[in-house]
Amino acid sequence: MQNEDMALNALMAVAEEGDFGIDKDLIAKAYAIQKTHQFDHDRAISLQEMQSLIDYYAEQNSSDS
Amino acid sequence: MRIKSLTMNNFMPYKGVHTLSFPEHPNRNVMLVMGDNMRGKTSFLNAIRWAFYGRALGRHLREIPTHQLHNTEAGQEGDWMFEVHIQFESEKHTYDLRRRASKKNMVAIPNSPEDFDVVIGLQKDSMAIRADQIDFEINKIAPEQVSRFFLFDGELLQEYENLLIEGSEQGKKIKKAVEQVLGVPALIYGRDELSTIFKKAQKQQAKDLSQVKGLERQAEQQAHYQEKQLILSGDIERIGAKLKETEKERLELDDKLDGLESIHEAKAHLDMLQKRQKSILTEQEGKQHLRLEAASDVWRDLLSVKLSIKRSQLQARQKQLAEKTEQKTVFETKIKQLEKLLNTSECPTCHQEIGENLREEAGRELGELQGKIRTFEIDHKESMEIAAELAHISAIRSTGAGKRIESIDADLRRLDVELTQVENDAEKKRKEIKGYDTADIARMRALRDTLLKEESTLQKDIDDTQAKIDDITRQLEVLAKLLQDDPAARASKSTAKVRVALELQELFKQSIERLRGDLKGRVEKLATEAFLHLTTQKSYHKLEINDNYGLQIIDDTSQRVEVRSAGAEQIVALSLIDGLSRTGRAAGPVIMDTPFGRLDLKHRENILKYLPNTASQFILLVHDGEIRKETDLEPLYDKIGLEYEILEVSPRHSKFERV
Repeated sequence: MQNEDMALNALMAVAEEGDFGIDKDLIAKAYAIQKTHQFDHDRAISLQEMQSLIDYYAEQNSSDS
Repeated sequence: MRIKSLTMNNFMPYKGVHTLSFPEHPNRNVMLVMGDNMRGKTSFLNAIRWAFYGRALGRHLREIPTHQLHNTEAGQEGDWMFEVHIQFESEKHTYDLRRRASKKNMVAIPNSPEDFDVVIGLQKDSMAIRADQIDFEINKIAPEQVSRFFLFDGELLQEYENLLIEGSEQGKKIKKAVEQVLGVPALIYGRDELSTIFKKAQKQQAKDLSQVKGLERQAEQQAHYQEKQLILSGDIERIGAKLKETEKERLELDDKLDGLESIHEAKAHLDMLQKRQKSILTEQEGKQHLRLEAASDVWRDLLSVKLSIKRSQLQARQKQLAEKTEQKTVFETKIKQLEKLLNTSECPTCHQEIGENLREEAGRELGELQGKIRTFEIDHKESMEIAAELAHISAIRSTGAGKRIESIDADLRRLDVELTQVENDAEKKRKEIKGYDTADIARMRALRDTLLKEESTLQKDIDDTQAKIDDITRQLEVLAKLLQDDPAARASKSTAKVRVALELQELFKQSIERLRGDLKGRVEKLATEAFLHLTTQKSYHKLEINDNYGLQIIDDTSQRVEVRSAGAEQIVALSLIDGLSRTGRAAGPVIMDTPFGRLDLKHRENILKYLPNTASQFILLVHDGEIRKETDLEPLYDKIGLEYEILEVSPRHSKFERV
């Protein structure tokens, strides 16, 4: 789809403009999961992958602080 | 993407095996499929849709159940398998897609979708793709959500014209579909899944913090909000299910009523005729009554001629008697004057004495008058009788009853003719509705209206409940942010999860609006590009997209064109579909079923010139009434790669013939 990059661009642009302390790598990875599963009717796999991603980043975050 | 071939076996009217090649030359990429109505043009479109997405669509874009996709004649001959096989290529890979439905062994005659087993197979470069990966692979090439823009018919065009009507109910639904198509799902799903993760993390956080001294109250508050949110979410789910069920029931009724619309109209017409019949009968009764009244006066009209003669005779006699009386009076006066003259021998005028001769003459005249007056006998009794008789005749005057009866009779004749006509029409309508339960149709209509109202109430309940959830969500987000600033809370792992999930969720949420704006800009640009190629009106400058994804024509003075012809509406809708299609996917085939509806020749020519350039293949399904092959297709001649005609073998069996 032509607009997939548009979606990532929108995420990055909003992240840059807003006061988001989110790692760009996390944004790209979260988007990649959604891009892969955007046409799945069953959302279980996508949710599981997103959960693991958040767990990983939260773990890193709490160990950093 | 390019389709190389399509093979249908016992699919809808295509009994047996039918294989069609598709145009492969980039400059001769048009495929023309001509066929009369009811021959199977839409079934051709549905074969492609079913092979790719496992669904075929009927009227109102309702799904056709699997068992109805099977060719009836083949079934009668005991062949209970149907299949669609498509070979295509995309990004230098070749694909072989096959979807097959076969009757289950234990079923004798299939009459429901469950009576068929459906299997799908996809090979990529001759390697089989895992069953659970097939949908994913297909959606990468031609997403189902975008399919409505490249597999479409006149009905979809009509839908998109409704989108252009600001605030229309159908427009709102299409807007939702359009947003789904425009790649927004990646972000919407992301936001929703992050919201689920956030809620779960916050629940864990509440549990963790309830053990931390000083944070028990916040933890309790958080738990309270979460519980409320859970209850409300359950409510939405329940109301949503009820709404879905109501919608389904209403759509089923709509479908049934669609077929019965003419019966309903005939019944309404019959009711009206019966009402008129009753009013004619009442009117006739009234007229008959008036006629009777008039008839009781008719004898006056009949006597009027005779009475008129009698009146003339009496008046003549009355006149005679009056003249006689007058004459007598004149004689009497003269006699008196002559008697005086003879007595005084003096002229009554000059008082001079008259001569003996004059006296003698006066005496003679007096004698004559006295003789005459003796014959005057005035019958006063007769005069009085005549006067009385005349008064009596005057009382028996004509009342114009005859004329009134004439007019009433004319009205009665007119009413008779109308009554016969109404009775004949009513009989025709009775025949039309014979065998139909009109009471049941009335019941279904009333039920459909009630269901529509119920849908709107349920939708309002959902919106109200969602507003409450949104409010609680905001409270929870505020609470989460407050806790992030608390050192004791920050130390917990669940707080870190809450923070990451919340921030990412907020980012996805805000990005959805950004993406929508960007996509609208792109759709507007591409639709304008298509529109300028398709329109025949040179003063049209561009299209402008609104919040509803509807498009407005802007003219060369930068003014909105408010009044648009039916043809212009269709061109705008077609431009929008083209803009959405090109925004939603990479170039691929476009298959259009009966798209020309109300368009004039020049617009048709523009479409035929333009659309083949924007698609890898342009497959046009048309009928004779829509397009004149010899003249209208001239702009396409050098682009037509293949041409087929759908021919009828029997009412339930069609075949293709290459032209």
